Amino acid sequence: MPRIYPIGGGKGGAGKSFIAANLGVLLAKQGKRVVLVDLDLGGSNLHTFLEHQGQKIDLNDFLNKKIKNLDHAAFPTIIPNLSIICSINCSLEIANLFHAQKLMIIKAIQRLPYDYILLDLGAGTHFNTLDFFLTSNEGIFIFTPEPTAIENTLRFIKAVYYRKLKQLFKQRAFNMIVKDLLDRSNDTTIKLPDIIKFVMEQYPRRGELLKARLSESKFKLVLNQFRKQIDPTLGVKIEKVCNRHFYSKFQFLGNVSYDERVYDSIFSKKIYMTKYPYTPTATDMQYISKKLTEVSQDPISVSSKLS
Amino acid sequence: MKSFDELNNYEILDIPINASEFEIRQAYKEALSIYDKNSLATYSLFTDEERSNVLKKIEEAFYTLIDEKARTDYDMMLVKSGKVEASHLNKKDQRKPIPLFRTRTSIDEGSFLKKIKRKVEEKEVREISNQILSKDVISGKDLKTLRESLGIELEEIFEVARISISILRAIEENRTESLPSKIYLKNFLKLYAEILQVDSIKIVDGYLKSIHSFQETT
Repeated sequence: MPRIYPIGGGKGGAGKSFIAANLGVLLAKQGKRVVLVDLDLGGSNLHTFLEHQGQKIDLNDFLNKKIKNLDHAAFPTIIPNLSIICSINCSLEIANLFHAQKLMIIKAIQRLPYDYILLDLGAGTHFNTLDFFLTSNEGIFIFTPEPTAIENTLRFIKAVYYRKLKQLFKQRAFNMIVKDLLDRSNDTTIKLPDIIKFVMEQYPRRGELLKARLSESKFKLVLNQFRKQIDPTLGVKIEKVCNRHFYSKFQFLGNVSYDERVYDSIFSKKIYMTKYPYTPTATDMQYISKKLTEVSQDPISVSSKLS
Repeated sequence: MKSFDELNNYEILDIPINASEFEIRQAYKEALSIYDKNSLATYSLFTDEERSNVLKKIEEAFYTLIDEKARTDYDMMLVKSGKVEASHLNKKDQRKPIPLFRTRTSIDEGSFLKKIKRKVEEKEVREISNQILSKDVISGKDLKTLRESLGIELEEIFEVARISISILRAIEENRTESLPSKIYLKNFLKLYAEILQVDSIKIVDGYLKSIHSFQETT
């Protein structure tokens, strides 16, 4: 079964596509078969990081049912073992996918025949983005150290977490509990945290189940554009806080140093990892890719079907 | 979101039950650096109300654990309620800061040497030193036995002879790779033997033989 790593994080410009592209390069260089899927529909640019022009056939043809197998939209890049599925041809309205189309994409992604599948997601907390992020249990959150980025990322983490909860509430017999809660309280608007609290208190067995399902998610954190003057333990602290206050698990993978040359590589449309393989930033990326392949020893269950 | 409601004071500060005062202070500082309203790590994660609740809990935990009497009462409460086993309260193996230097003031050399002289004349000590000096090869372990039988600390040798403690340790542990060059080593051994008030020539010869044979066997 392939390992799927959705790469997200609330803020735009945090480096999601950069990390996705270069992580793909590093994993491919380890001899793994890797495919990158550009799911930033309407803001597709992942191919530019990989010296790739974009192909005539891409995700759009899969959505229009011109091709049946999503793998036919995957094209090799100049890096051996690394393929890419673009979404340049997707019409502009496509950013607002229909529910059925979204499910079709998610199911097709889970069936792609590769070792590693990296999903590059767009910014924001639109529920399509959240559902793509929940394609697997091992989403990677990319954030930068500015307060604005951290605010967006923590909000994105919360949004993903609550989206996961909502999926769970719909799946299991939680509906009854929610109705019960609605009957008991006079307030018509009930917030998710209240439901969790209610479930834990009134239905301990269901509560345990909920905890178990939530703890299946092992999210990863990467701090990008790390600069010297920033508290180096920031990532570890955020990991600690998330593990303490969410029922899901979080792992901080590491800092990626800020480097002007990232812009060079983007302007010259060259792959950063091949143009500057011996910079601190490249070393950081290598460390993270090693950590990812290490942790990927334990099997994950791909998040169960969406309702 | 999980809150701190079910956690005990130790869990809130994320420290072991037998934590030392030093650890408690460190953990409190760390907790504040995470949950303070100016902290980047939790920026926008909590509402003002949630944050002030969490901070109140941390504050409460710190002030309970840092006060010796309040902590004992709290521990008793934990044990009684069955949440914690009494054996975990053992303070013996708690972590403490390692002092960089002993704060002891330098010793009075005269009375120190007099004290050793008295010791050397004791029967048991003389037996040990005679036994060691009669050997052809004297190892670091022998030196250590001799020193300990005289009740001398390494720090005291340092105070008198100004040989660094790491070298003294290397000598006693036969760590040839950490030893200084031969000419220094000879001098150090001589000083060492003089403080222990034994025949320095024998010690130097015996020890050099021992490290020589040690180097050959490895």
